[in-house]
Amino acid sequence: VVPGGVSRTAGNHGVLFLDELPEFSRGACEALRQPLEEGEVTVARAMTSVLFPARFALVAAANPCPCGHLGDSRFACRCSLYDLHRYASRLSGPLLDRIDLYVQAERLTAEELTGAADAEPTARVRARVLAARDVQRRRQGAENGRLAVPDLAAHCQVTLAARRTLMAAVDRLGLSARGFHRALRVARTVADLATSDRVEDHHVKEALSLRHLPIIGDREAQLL
Amino acid sequence: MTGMEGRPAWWTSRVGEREVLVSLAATPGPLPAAVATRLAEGRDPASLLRAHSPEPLAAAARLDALGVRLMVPGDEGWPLNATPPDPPCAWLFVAGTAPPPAMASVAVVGGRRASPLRRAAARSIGAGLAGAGWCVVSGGAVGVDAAAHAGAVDAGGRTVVVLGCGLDVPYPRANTGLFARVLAGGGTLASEHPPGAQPRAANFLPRNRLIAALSAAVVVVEAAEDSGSLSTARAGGSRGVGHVLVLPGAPWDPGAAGCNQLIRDGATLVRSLTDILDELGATVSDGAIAGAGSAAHGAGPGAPTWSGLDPPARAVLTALIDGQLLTHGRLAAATTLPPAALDAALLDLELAGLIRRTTAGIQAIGLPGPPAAGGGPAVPSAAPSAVSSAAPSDPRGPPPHAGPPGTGDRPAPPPDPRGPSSPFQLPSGQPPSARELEYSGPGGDDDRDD
Repeated sequence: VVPGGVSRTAGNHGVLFLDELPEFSRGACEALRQPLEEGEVTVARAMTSVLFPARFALVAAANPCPCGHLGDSRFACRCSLYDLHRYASRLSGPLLDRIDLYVQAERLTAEELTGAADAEPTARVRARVLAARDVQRRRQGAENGRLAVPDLAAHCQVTLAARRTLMAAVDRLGLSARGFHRALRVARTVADLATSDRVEDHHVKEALSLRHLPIIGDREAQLL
Repeated sequence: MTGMEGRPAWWTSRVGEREVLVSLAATPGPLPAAVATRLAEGRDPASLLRAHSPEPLAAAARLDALGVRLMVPGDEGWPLNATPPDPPCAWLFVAGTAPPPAMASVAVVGGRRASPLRRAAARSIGAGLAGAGWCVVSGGAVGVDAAAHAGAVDAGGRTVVVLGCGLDVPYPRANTGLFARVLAGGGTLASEHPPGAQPRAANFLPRNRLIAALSAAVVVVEAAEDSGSLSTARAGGSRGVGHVLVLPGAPWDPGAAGCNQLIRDGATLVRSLTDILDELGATVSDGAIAGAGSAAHGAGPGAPTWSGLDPPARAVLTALIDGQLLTHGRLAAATTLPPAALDAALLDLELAGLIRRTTAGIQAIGLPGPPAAGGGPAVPSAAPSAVSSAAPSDPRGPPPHAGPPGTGDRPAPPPDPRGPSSPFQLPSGQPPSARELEYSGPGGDDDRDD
């Protein structure tokens, strides 16, 4: 048995980038669930079963729909509702639930495409990220992403308002138990980046906004 | 083709007229409206049979097995005596109770892709009409059709679903549960098409004339340009006896293009359920179209109000008030809110059940009510996320409520941010409610495996 992609190429502590995620087979996508959750992957064969390390950051890209124009301000989407449902169904809820940050890329204007002069330079962002990671390691001996659920309570103290927002998200937005804990870690990170000791309500709201994803292919969930 | 060569093998001159009609109705292929037109021109029904027309007894047995009846003009309870459609209708396949005469029914029509606000209005109108004793008639599509039926059925009313396919064809699949609820509520599924007929595009325009013919009035909740809803409304209007009642919209709202055209052509503009019921000659004290929420879920003191929203949330909702989809970027441009404030406002509105996000953009699904009338509790500018909402009904399950007509006093869609409507919350998913989630147990215990 030889280590595969998630243990070798993407490497331990690497980045696994999957372009056009819905084009991967459902089996391949579902196989990501264990490593995403546990940082290890079990390869079982007839005689033996091998555990490989597989701690990586998953980055994935997807079109909003098969034709690519859903939500486009310039071109109309040509997909039927059936197309959209089929496209959406290629990504399982449990996999999407394990993804923390969603960013929808909208069409850029020419000005945005050529300008971007006021954007923050990557070097400065990097310094901020490294500083936040330092803070995290000093506080809890690990980055926020590796905080075990039992340790969340100790290290992710949230304000009362923030807690209320999280609970409301569970009740009204269908945030799962896993999603709840993941949102809490992201909120902790947002606070760390803002060099705040406490996780405030607006940190939680930012975290929820980041994870609260427009579901791929969902033009109109049928309301009735 | 008129000759004897088209006759089926079982045909003899002794076969009765009713039997011939049963076979003719059950013959797959020709458009029923076309056959009906020929019959109305005086053609002999037997001459219209085709070689593959089924043997009448077998056809009748098949209908029996499916629980479907064939009704023809002259039958007791034939609903179209007073309102013959054009082109005429020679038969109806019916499941459930017979459709009531047109004078007892109101059609509610609109498109499949109507905005959530207009669907909510349809639901509310369906409930209000049912509450006032009207039978609701509509098609079987997702969107406005389904909303109108669901509103009426949930309010304990009867509805007639007029399909463009055979009654045994589960189309659209998403609504088969709704159809069962319609039947369970004493309602009707009706179609000109024999069992097994697929929903061909050509079926729907003729179908619309039946919706109009089965109703005393047509309420147009949504109509894009050149839409089917427009054809239904025109069929209702051209009959003369029919009223056409239309919810208006902003000139730039594509779902209102047909509505506004109808109003320009002389249809009646309605702003509220009260307007509709007034027009129908019914009396009801009060009712707001967007009262879907207030009717169905109760606009308690905790329900969001305009004054209860903070300024960024108000700005976002105002930008979305026509019910259209706006991308995050466009919303940012429209509101000129900084990103963090915009995201916080979006989340607040989402938690309050007033907007939803999709890949296609952000959309209002509800509007807050006006400030509580009669010196109700002054609503502090608490975050709407603190609002205690009645649990939204599961969109797929049997809704727990039976909504009386709305209790608000303003109509839904007017673009007036100062207090246009009552709140409603459309179900947008089934929240796996878990209040004690905090820090509970090991991670990964909520695996929604599929």
